[in-house]
Amino acid sequence: MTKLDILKEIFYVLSASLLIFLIMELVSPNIILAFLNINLVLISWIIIGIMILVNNEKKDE
Amino acid sequence: MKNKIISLRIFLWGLLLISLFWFAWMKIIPTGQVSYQADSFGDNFFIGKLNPEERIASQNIIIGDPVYFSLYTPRRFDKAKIKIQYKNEPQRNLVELGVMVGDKNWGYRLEPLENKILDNLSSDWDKLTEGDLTLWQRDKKYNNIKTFKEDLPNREKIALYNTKINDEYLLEDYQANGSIKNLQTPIRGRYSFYTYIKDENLNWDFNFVDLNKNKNSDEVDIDLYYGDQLIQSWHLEDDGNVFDNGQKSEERGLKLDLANLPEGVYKIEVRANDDIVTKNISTIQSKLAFYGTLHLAKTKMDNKFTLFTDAQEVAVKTISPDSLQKIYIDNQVLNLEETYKQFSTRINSADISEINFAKDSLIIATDGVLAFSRSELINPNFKKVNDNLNFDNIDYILANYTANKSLDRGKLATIELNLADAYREKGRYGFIISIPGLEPHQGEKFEINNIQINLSGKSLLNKIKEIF
Repeated sequence: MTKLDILKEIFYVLSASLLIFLIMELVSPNIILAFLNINLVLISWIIIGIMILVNNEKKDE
Repeated sequence: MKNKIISLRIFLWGLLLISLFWFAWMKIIPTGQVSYQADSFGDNFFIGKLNPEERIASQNIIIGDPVYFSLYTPRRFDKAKIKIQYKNEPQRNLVELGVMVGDKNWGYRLEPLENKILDNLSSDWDKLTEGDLTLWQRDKKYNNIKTFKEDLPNREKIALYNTKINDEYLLEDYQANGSIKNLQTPIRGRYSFYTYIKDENLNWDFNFVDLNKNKNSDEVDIDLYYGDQLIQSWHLEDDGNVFDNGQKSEERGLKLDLANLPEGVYKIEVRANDDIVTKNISTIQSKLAFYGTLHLAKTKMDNKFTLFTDAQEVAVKTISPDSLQKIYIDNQVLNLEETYKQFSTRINSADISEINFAKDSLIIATDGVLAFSRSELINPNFKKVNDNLNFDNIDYILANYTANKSLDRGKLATIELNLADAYREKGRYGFIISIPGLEPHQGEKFEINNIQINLSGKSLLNKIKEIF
């Protein structure tokens, strides 16, 4: 299991989390925001995404 | 390697599932019990910031009265037990906390955090405590509170705090006079008053004008109460103009006419927004005493008038520069010298006072009742234990109050509030902290070190049982 595999698995879960959290917020406002700042999940998702791209490039080289 | 990936996958997706379950749990709160606490207001999503800012020195230090905060809850609750650690420097007499109740007819239901007047009541007074109630007697006459309530002394000798006594208020020498009386001083917005009925119909005629200065439907509701019981309501629809074009409506009337009502004091509440002006009230009732706040509308001419009150404190505010004036209260002068600022004075007289105004467009608030004629005054309320109470005439005090615990870091007060009928908008309950007399720039402060709010309501199981 490479670092890239781990990052990809985290990325998938974060993507799903973001989508589910947003849908839940739309259905029932503040259900997530009262406890968790969704921006943090979004930032984590972007960082992981960038790390995957960087690692992918290294792998290609 | 594949096994490791599957394990990681199970772990991550399991974590997501657990967090989703936890969020759902915290939204539904199946047990019906939850607790929120903060060392500083606004530190977390649930307990909001204190406001308005001009009455706050820092996040936790109150320097003006009153201040407000909100509490977000994911669902409705029935009760709130609030624990507050605070420092009251330099010792304001009254500190109360309340929750906003009602819907259209909103107000705050207050509970005491601290009442230094009762805490410092001389040990010469006999103290009798039964359950939540305490009876203080200057000279011991009653052995228990039940006897006191059944055989009440003269009501002028009694002061209450945070409790009620169901004593019928009857005027022995009252006689219905039947002549029609007209009150032509226009009143703006909502107001409430007491009246008295004995062997006569309840008969009131109101005439309203809609100023249409604000964008809203301007309806009028009138509620009639006997004691605390709502007897009947009347409703007047909007004039059809919901715009803010300033086009005055025609005068429209609402007539209250009820026969065969038992003798006693009745309370009439006129609920309307500030676009509504009551141009004229006519009635055959002899008593008409306003309580709470009275907003006298602006008329074109200089309108000198006199009000009579039994209050110990009068507060006046105006938003109109033309209405700045000197107000004469018996021998005292209250100088209304700024707009949008409330000026108040304590009245030294223990009897009925006469207040002379030179101009209208005023918002007048008192701790008693107001009437346009001395003979119209009626106040069925018992005196309240507050800064204005004259103890010389008081022999009995009945209060629902427990003194607070002293801690190293100040004091700890615990109060319980009923939230069943509390107003909740966008998931937030509104709270007020009232410290009468605390004014910004006086150097006094009230510091809250910690607030803990324990909420309780119906459990999920109980809710399901209710449905099936």
